[in-house]
Parts: sequence; structure tokens; C-alpha cells
Amino acid sequence: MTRTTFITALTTCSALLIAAVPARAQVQLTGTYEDRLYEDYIERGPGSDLGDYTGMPMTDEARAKALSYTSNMPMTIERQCLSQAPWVGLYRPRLYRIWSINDETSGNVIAWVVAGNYLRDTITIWMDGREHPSENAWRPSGGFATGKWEGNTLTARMTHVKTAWIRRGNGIPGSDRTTFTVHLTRHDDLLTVTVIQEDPIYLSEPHVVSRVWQYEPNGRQGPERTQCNTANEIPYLEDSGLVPHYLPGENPEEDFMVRTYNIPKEAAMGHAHTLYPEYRNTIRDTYVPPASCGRYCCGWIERQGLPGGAPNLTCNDGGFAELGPRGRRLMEEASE
Amino acid sequence: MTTPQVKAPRPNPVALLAAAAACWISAPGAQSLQDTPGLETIQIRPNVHVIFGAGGNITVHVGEDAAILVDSGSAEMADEVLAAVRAITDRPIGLIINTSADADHAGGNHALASTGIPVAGAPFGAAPYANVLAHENVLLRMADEGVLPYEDWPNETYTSRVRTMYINDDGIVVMRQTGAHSDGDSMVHFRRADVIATGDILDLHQFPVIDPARGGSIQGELAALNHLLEITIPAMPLVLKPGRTLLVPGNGYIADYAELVEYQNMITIIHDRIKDLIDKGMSLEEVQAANPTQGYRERYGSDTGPWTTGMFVEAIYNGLKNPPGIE
Repeated sequence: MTRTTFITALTTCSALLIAAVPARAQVQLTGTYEDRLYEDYIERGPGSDLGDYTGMPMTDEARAKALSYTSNMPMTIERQCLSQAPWVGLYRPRLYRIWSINDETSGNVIAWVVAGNYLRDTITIWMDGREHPSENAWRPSGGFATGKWEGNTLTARMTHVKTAWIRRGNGIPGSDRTTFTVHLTRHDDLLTVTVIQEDPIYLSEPHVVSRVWQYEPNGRQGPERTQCNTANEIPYLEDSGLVPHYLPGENPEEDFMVRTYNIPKEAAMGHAHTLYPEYRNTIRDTYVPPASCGRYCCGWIERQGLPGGAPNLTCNDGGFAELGPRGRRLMEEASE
Repeated sequence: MTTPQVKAPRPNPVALLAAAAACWISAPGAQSLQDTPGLETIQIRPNVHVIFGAGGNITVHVGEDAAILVDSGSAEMADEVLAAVRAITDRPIGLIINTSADADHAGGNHALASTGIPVAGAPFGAAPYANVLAHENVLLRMADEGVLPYEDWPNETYTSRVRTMYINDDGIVVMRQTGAHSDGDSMVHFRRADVIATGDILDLHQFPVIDPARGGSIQGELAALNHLLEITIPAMPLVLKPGRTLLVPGNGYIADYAELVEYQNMITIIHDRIKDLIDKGMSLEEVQAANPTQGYRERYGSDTGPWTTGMFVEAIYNGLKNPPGIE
């Protein structure tokens, strides 16, 4: 054995032995967290518009699939109770409930479980060092995730997800080859969830999004949506084998963002270069804001009458913001 | 309020030993255990395993009566498949059910069946040999094409809509689904285990191989997928529970209702797009140029190999222009 080989082996074994000692920084995550609607109000509140793919680095394949989507599709009997993408909660007005699974002898955390009633499944982040299963293994709706502490942040890597829509209600797709890197960071009573999504089929570069939840000591103790039943919402589809969808070029919402907000179509359609601040320079001389705003003109700040709101806005979001958390949940459940 | 900290646990002695063992195993000269080369076996139910890597997926159902195989893989991998079956059970292979006549699904028939005995026992004086069951068109196809040798041909065929049997304390339904991938398609439902082996009707590696020259059609493929939707039960109404029907596709990972819905939706949408282009008077070349599989092509398509995206589109185009008679 050469000196170099010996040092390499010694280093490797030392690293393995150190890794066997649990990390010291572990934050208590157990509890219920409510969403904070002032952050990305439209996305987390009433929801994005059909044809709004802004902020997404989508491939041509993703655009083609997204533009075939109609809101009738999730209403088919076959899809009504299917689970949604694991981290779609970042785009919804929904709570998270987190608890741990502990070893009965040592008390060590074996796994963290994240439940959100939007998903119809739970996300289990295994902390016991287990390997990810084979590519051939069955995939739970919540995917398969392993985690480790990096300082006070729980970092998880998720694989084995199902094909699903990754945002809310407008058909942006995620493939079954998607992987997620997720950071759960708790600052006092705030929980920041940062998700880095990579998808070789539908994303041209990683999609990164973070949202904040607030610890709610009086939050509900159990996840909702433990049950789901189907109902025939579109009678002509029953037992027909038909699938509602738009043919290429026939989606009436393809130009919605252009005609409503004058947003360039390439930005509305999720071309990656439009995500970056430099893109503003390319449209600075040509972009003309709409003469008036007719929908979702007010953010959370204006809604709450907080300082810093834009003056003289006519707020029209169908009364969504006045509903309160429970009302919003009921409204969203009714729309699914 | 400060961020609550969890008390740091003590070092885990088991993990320390495991790390030390890992150092020993990685040292030169150490022996490591190996699975059957090239194959992977996954247990999906207490008595149902799936063998991957021998061609098409092989479902192995075990019990007191026999080992039942759905498909037998390729001839080249037969020895490895036998070793993988032996690692699952010491019960003899009693029945092999072929989902089609394809060489990657039926090529191991003889090598595996010759190690077994029929579920009902070998007739007096006959050499032990497992039953090999398939739709009659599989036998006719094998005899006509000569791709597989005589020894691999099924020794038992059926033509009825279903062929049922009760083996290993399970109700087994072999369903005729001809005219989808080929004219000899069968799906196999293990009712107590609630596992359905779909054959190449569901192929998570690629667009379904609809081979008109061998009796396949887009109409039959959609009929088969819609039939599967009727008999595949999702986790509902108790959506957080794991109970559901599991699907073993012809190729690819273990699936359930969600993958099936996505696949059926995809094939239906592509069918509708091509039909619309035909209705507009487009030729096959114009349909191909319109890229009707966009949205799914990167995931399921291929520009090379035995089954290209172009061939898939052509099969649908021809099937819509000249619809076959479907049962």
C-alpha cells in the first residue's frame, strides 16, 4: 500500500466514522405551520392564471404539455383523488403539519414527516441513513426522501416521484424523473421551505422557490383530506375513455398574460432567460403597463391596510382575501 | 421565541460498527456478496416478486402449489432468471403465462419450464414440464414467424375472454386483450394479491409498441388501457393508506393507478392530435412534421432503436386511416 493510498483510506474511514455520529445541530420542527399570504399573494392565495407560466424555466416539451391542459382535466373521475406533486404546497394556501418518528429505544429521530392536506399523501424524510430504493421500485405520491442536518437546516433529497402538475391549476408539468433538494429552516416561529427542483424532461434549468410558514401553536393536530371520493362532475366523460384537453394552438388562454398585463409572451410562456433581472433591460423600452387593473390589483399589504401599499387601487379578487384561512380552504377544496 | 433545539443524541454504536465494517469491506481482498448478475428482484407483495433486467419484466407469484411466472424473459437470460426464481422460492415452476409472443417476454419459456412440473402434476410417463399458457394467437404467431424455437411455444392456449384458475390460494384471471400491442396480448390479474401484470400494454420505458404487422392497433391499445382503468383500484377513499392495486408493466418500474391514468391520458391525447391532423387532410409526412407527440416525446420517445417515435406516430396514423375490427 502506497503512502497516498494509505492516507486516502485513512481519510475515508475517518469520514465514515465521523458520519456515524449524529449531527449535533437538530432543530425541533414538530408542529403546525400556517401559510403567510402576504408573500406571493396571488400564487398562494387565489392562484395563478391559466396560461401564466412566468417564473418557470420550462422546456418546449413542458409548454406543449401545459398548453394542452384544461381545468376539466383534474375534474375527471380518474384524476379527482390523485395526489399532487410533493411540494406543490408552496403554491397553495395550505398549512403544513410536521412530526417526527422516533426510535423507541434511543429516542433518536428516524424520520420527519411533513403533511399537507393538499397532497393526499405525506412526505417522509428518512434520517436513519437508509439508501434510496431502486429505480424499479414503486413510487409513493410523496416520493422518497432522505435528509441530514446542515447546521440548523434540514436538507432533504427526494427521488421517486410521480408525474404530476407541479404548480396549481394551470397544468405546468413535472415528470417522474424529477428530483428535489429541499431545505427546511426554522427561524424562531417561522419556517422557510426552499425547494430546488430539477427535471430533465420539463425544466431547462433548476427551478428554485422558497416560501415561509408561521408556527401556529393552536393549529389543527391532524391533516385533513385523509379521505377522498369521486363524483361525476362532467357527465359526458363518464365511461367514455375521453380525456379533456386542448389541441395544439387552440388553448384560448395562451395569450392571457399578454392581453391582460401586456407581459411579453416569451415571459408568460416560461422561457428561462426571462427569469433573470437582466431581462427587464431588454423590455424596458417596449413594455407598456396596462392602462388599468381589473383583477388581483391588490396584494396582501393593500388588503390589510398596511404601510407601503400602492395608492388608489381598486381591489377585485372576488373577495378571496376576506374569506380568512378556513374560508379560503373551503373555497379551494370546492374548486378541486 | 428562540428556535427550539433537539437534544443531540449519543453516537449510535450500531452505526459506528457499520462504518468500521464498511472500511473492512472496502479493503483490498475483501469478498462482497452479489445478486444474480444483471437482474434485480423486488418484492411487491408477501408472495409476489418482480424480476427486472431479463428482457421484459417477470412477475413471480409463489405459494403452496407452485411458482407461477408471468413471462419468462429473453432466452439469453434464462439461467439468471432461474437463479433469481430459486432465490425467491424452492417451489418448482408450475405455470408460465406469456403476455405476448415477443422474444423478450417468452424467450425463456423452455429453459424455465423444463425445470418445473405442471401444477396438476405430470401425466404418467411424461417428462416433468411446467404449463406454458398463452392466447392461441401467441402460438400461431410463434409458429408462423419462427423467431422462437419450437420448444419455447406454449403447450396450452386459450381463446375465451378470460381464463380463470385458483392456484396458491389466489384467484388468477388471465384476460384476453388482443389487438393492443399485438394480436396475442394477455393481462394477468392476481386477485388476492391485487397485482396485475399488464405486458407491453403499459410500457413505462417508451411509447407502447403498437405493431400493426402483428395485429396491434391504437384502438386496441386504448381499449386495453381503459379496461385496465376499470380494474385497477386506487388508494381511495382512504388516500393516506398504502392499499391499492399494483401494476407490473411490460417494462419499467412498479406502477399504480396514477401512472396508468397518466399513460392513458397521454395515448388518448396523442391519438386525438393525430386524428385532428388527419381530419385536416394531412399526409403522414405532414403529421410527422407537426410533432404530435410533443409534451411526451422526451420522456417516452426515441429517434433510434427498434421502436422510434416516428414508428409510433405512423402506427397510429395508419390505424386511424384503416381501422381494424376490434372486439
